[in-house]
Order: sequence, then structure tokens, then C-alpha cells
Amino acid sequence: MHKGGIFVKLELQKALVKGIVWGNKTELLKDSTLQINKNELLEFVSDVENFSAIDADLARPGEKVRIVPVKDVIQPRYKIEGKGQVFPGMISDVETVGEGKTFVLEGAAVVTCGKIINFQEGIIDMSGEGANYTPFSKTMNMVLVVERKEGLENHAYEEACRMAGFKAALYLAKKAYESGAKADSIETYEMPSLSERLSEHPQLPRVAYLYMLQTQGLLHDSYVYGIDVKNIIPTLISPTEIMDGAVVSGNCVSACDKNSTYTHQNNPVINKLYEHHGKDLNFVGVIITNENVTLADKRRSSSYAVKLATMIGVDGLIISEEGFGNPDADLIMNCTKAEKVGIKTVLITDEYAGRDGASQSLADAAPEADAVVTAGNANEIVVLPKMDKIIGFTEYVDIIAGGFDGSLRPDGTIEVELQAITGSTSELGFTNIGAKSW
Amino acid sequence: MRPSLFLYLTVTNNPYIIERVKGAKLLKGTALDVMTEARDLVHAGWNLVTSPLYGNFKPNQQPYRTIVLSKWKGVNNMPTDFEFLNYLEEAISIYKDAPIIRQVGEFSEEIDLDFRQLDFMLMSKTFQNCGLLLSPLN
Repeated sequence: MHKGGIFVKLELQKALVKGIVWGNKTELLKDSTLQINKNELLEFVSDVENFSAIDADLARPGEKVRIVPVKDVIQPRYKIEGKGQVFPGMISDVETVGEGKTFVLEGAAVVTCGKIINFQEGIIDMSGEGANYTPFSKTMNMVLVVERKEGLENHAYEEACRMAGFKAALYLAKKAYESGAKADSIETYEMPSLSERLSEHPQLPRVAYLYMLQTQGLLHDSYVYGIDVKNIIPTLISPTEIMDGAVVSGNCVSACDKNSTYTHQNNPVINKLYEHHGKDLNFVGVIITNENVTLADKRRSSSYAVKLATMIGVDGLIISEEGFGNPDADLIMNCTKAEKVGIKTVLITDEYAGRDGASQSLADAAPEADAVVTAGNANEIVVLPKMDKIIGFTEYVDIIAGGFDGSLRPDGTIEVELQAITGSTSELGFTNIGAKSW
Repeated sequence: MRPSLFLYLTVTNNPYIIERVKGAKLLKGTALDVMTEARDLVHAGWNLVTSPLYGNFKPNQQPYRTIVLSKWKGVNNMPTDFEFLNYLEEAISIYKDAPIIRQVGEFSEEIDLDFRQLDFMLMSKTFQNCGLLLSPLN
């Protein structure tokens, strides 16, 4: 029995979505097709102060459709029991989430598309070579295409676009649930009080997750309960809060390794730690930390995160990075400081090793970083076929991150680095790239 | 703003910064030139305030680069900080290894403005904290 403290338990009620269509009423049909009333949806997400135009389109797996430039991807979720609502501090109150029941449209995604920072957004192809690299070619996508009002600054445009995406995700899950959709599967996640967790499985190593969030500045930020993560010191959070959207993406870094809100909601590192809990490790919690631009911030956050891990008394830390270059310094600081106090680390990153894979993969390195998982080489070249339909705006493909002059060939094919493909080298491991040895 | 104990120096090749930041030094050159200048200043006892690799840009993407340095007011002959030097040397070697380094003015005006503004936005909080902004952020 659980004694003392708060016992957190979250039930994810997942209803499968196998198709997506426009229709008169927003509901999940008997055959698992998500039907959406387009006008009602657009009215719900409209923002006349910031948008000159907003439209929505649908993209299904296997279609000859390209979505570009992609800003964020969000999974529709709606809290049906428990305190607070999804995306707290963003479109909902700031009440602590992570307990009760949350309804999930599994297999559906909201994709936001806008010309915010032209060169740092991504591509999602629903078929062809590019589809193999993005996990969002397998989801039933409702794409919001938003255009800013003249004079609206980039960061205000980003914020408005971000909010529209969250609102759409909430709308879809709420309407589907209210129309009687039932869960196909139920997953339960628990996180007891720290004292109780620490006393469990005394024979197993205590492992925490150090979750690095992109926070380099405007348009490169993440948010927790609506707070800009740049302004926090590392803190403990329940993994179930993450599942309820307490952490969201607000960033326009290169598309391959930015953690979209969808991957925060479905973080595979957290899922795997739950899977291994009680078997070969004791999963004791999650620490979120930032990746700031100033070196003083880097030193403060890495020292403080490791101090928190020490206070908890962990034996090991799984550390995931977001982005590349500047955050490599944070990753290595986190690693070396933890190892120096006797905490074993495993790092998850991706590589920028040049098109031939021969260059140095990270901007920083240390001998202590001797257990590293890679999510792939973002400089690898892929050729994307011509598509029948483009959702969004194509004129920037040439200069999108990972694209280059001449990327868009006269025959409509595009030669790009993986960097340009949304989620292709996800440093949370939410990716299709893997390696096998024989 | 509290009176600062530090002197600040901003080295940049971005004209957008010069109009908005006190005491910024405009270099006519590439991002690599900015890093090389910052490295020489670190040798001369200046400390790095910002990471030379902020912003997740590859050398073939962002033509602009800005680095903020500091030193204690009234203290001369500060020794070289080798940690800062190491950051710069590593950043420089990444740029030197790049097949293409973007030149200032290489892109169309619309794209170029994105790059100039983004460089400023990423550094704006630092400028604010160091009391270097000529006018407040909106």
C-alpha cells in the first residue's frame, strides 16, 4: 500500500484513429475515422488579431502530399478526469496536471504550418523516400496553415501559431470524446512519492531522466506550465505531467531534432523507463533543464541539475539533448559533472557528421561521455520525389535548414539533408532510424 | 539596472545589432572572422559571455554571428581563461571544416532580414541582462 505523500496515477485512454475526413460533425466514427467539422474547427482556433488567413487541410499516410514548412506537431488529448486540463499555462489554467484520466486520439496529429522563420521549419512527406524518415507520415494529419497579419513580428506569429495548434488538438479530442468515442486501450502510469519510490526495488539501480529542453532565445524556446524554460533552474517533474502537455515546444530550430509537442507528449525515453522499472532499474523521476545561450547559465543549470540528482540519490542518469551545436556544451557539462560525482550517464543525441559521415559529430566531447546513443546523421542526403499536392508554402524549400541552393530541382524533386525532415533524427528516439549489426 | 561590475564588448558582423546594442563592434567579414576576433580578445583576458555556437546553425546556413565578451572593470592583465578559449577554438574548427561558409549579403533581402533578426533575437535576453540594449525590447 502507498503510505504518505501524494500518489500520482494517470490513465491514458487511447482511441485509435485510422482515417480522417471533413464532415458535418466533429466525432470519431464507428470505423475509427476522425470526422471534423472544418468551419467549427477554424472558428475555434481563429485569431483575428494575429492571422490574416487561416485554413486547414488533411494529409493521410501514403498520399502524394508534402507539408512544408512544418512548425509543430501535436497529439489531440483532452483531460476527462483529474485536476487541470492539457497544455496548462498555454491554453488552460496553470493547475498541476498529470493525474486522473486523459483521452487520447492515438494515430491522429495536428500539424501547424507557417512561414515563421523561413529557413528553420521542416518537411513532412506522406509517401516516398521522405516518409520513411518522419514518424508523422504514419499519422492522420489535420494541418493548420496560418498566415500572419502584416507587421506582426516573428515571435508573436510563432506564439499565435503555437496556441492555434494546441487549441485544435484540444478541440479534436474534446469533441471526439463528447460525441461518445470509447478507448480501444488504456495505459496506466504511476509515480508515487519520492520516499516511497526510493525504497522500492533496493537491489536495482536508481535511474532518473535528465530532460534537456531547447531554450536558446526567442523562437528557440520551450515552455513548462506556460513558463519560459530559459528562466527556470532545473526542477523535478512527474512523467505523467509531461504526458498531459505540461512541457510544450515553441521552437523553430532545425526540424530533424526539435522535439515537437507530440514527442514530448509521447516521450519514448519516459515510456522505456516505465517499461524497465522494477525489472532492471528503479525509475525515480524526471528532471527538466534548459540549454541557454550564456555560459553562466550553462554552468548554473548543469551544476544544479546534477545537484538535484545527487540529492535524490540516483545511481544513473539518462540525458537527452535537444538540437545541436550550442546544446552540445550543455550535454557534455551535464555528463561530466554527473560522472564526477559518481553518477553513471547515458547520453542521447544526434550527429552532424557531414554528408559523408566523416566529420566530428558533436561540437563538444569528453572522455566521460562513453555511453552515447545516436539518432542518426542529420547531414545525410535524401532525394524527395515530386508530390501531387503541397500543403503550405514551397518557395522556401531552397533555404530551409538542410536544404541548399538548387535543392528544388526543375523536375520537382528535392535534394535535402535529413535536417530538413521533421523529426527524422529525434533525440528522444521518436524516429524511424535505427541500426542493426549482424 | 544595477551598476555593472563588468565591461562588455559585443563583436558582430550583423549591422542590425549595431543599431540596437551599446558598444557593439561591427566586423566586415564572415562568422568565422567574428569568432577569430573573439578568440584574440579571450587571449587578451576577455571572458566569453555567450556561447560561440548558439542558435543551432551550421556554417552553411547563418551568415551572421555575434559574441558578447566581458571583463572586470578596473582589472588589467587578466589571465587567459582556457575553458573559454577551448569553446572558441572548437567552434572555429567546426567552421573551418565546413565546405561552405555563408557570406554576408548572399541571400535575398527577405531571407537576409530573417537571419539578421534571428541573430538579434537569440542574443536579446543577454543584451538585456547585461544592460546593453539601446531601447527596451517590445
